[in-house]
Amino acid sequence: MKTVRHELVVLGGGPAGYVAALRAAQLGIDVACIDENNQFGGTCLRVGCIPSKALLESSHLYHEAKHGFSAHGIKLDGLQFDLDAMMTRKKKIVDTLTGGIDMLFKKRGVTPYRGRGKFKDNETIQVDGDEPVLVQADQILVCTGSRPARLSFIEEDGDRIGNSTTALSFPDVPERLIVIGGGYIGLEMSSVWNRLGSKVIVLEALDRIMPGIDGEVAQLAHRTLKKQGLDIRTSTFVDSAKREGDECVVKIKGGETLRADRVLLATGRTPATDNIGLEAIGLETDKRGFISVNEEFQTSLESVYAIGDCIGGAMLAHKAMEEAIVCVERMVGMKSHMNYDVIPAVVYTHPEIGMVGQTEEQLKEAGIEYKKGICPFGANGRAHTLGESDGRVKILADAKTDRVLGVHIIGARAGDLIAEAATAMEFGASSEDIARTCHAHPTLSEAVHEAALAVAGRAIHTV
Amino acid sequence: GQAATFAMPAAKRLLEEHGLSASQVPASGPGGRLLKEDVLTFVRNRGN
Repeated sequence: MKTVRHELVVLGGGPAGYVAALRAAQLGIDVACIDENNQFGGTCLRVGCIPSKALLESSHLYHEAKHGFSAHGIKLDGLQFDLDAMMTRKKKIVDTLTGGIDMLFKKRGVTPYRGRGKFKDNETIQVDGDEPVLVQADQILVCTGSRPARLSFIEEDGDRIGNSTTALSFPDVPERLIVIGGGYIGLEMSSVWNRLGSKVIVLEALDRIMPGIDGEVAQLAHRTLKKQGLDIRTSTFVDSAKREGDECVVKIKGGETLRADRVLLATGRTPATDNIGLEAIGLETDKRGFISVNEEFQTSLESVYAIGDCIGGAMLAHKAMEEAIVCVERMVGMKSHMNYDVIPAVVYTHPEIGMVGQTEEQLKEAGIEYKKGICPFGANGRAHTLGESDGRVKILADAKTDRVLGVHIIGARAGDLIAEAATAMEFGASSEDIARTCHAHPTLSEAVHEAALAVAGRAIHTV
Repeated sequence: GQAATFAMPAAKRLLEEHGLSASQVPASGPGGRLLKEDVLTFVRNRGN
């Protein structure tokens, strides 16, 4: 078998891996990146962020044309959608972006290896691709990501009963769809198929949807999604789900038996750290499969590092990308740092949800006194012109210092609006700093400005 | 804290109200930025 050597080899080409490889190349490191899939980009680009956002946008436009255009005086006759065309568009976007990584690798001098990579020893990875190769390196960075978690009592067949990957490529619109899990993945996919005509039932074991999101915002989201037609059932445990012919049967604990054309299991994600040869180097994972690392992202082995979904924490693409930059920069001696307190999270339902920092529940639990400033989108001129007057911005600031501790937005473009809040928090801003920053008019960002003013009870457009 | 390289907008407002200059107040923000809370702390401690 051919043996090659690099200074750094990155195992996994997702947001953690490809970003680490590109940054390493930029810093002059001879770096290689291994991925088992044909396309680099990992879960996010192939079967996560990008394809789901493509379908969310297409289905939203259809929904708007059907229900929203008339308010603008636009009349449509014979409105239809073409699911195949939507899927083709989605695929094209994925191909373009994954192709972009190939191009960047080429231009920056990252050596790609396609094939399944497994540790042979702590400086060698065997890649079982079309041409098996032994890749040796001074340092190895594990970025193997995560995969949808399975449950023993849900009999997945990858067709009628499947995970998020399956739900991104249904061949037709299911008449009835049951989604197990009321987290952001479940609700985004529910939104897509509900808009395209499915009757969707969401089953959530907890007493609320979207744990981790500020309670008040989650409640507002719940109400809005219900209005859109989602049948969301909280505190509902699933006993079993199995396929019977072309039908799926879902049994609720102590309750009814539901039948649907398709079932989506979206109860969480699990680290993909099995079957990569960690036992060959004596590297143990925790009970759930996560790899433990220190502040430098170094594992218990000196030459082996790990970042991204496989080390746990928030399983978000931008968290993985940030770790990639910090990890590689530290490898070359730069003092870059990771700020886990300021990592935004976005749910791309409609309205969107954007959050950064602490929720009210977290502040209360920590006994931190805070002030709250709220601006409803109804008080924002731009929101009205967009026909998007549902939503609100909530800013939570320390009662004593006025430092911004958390910002929670539900409404159109919340995912874009949250960036300002994250920047402000990274700079240690007070709510007054945001309030004293001139925001363009008319824009949705003025709702952030207004909420900042509201923290000190001096909002102009609300009382 | 170190000497301020830049005062945040709210800090600037507070400095002027208290007749202070940025160089008098230790800054704790990223990159030596003077935060509103730095001025508040400074004023509170000076008061005691």
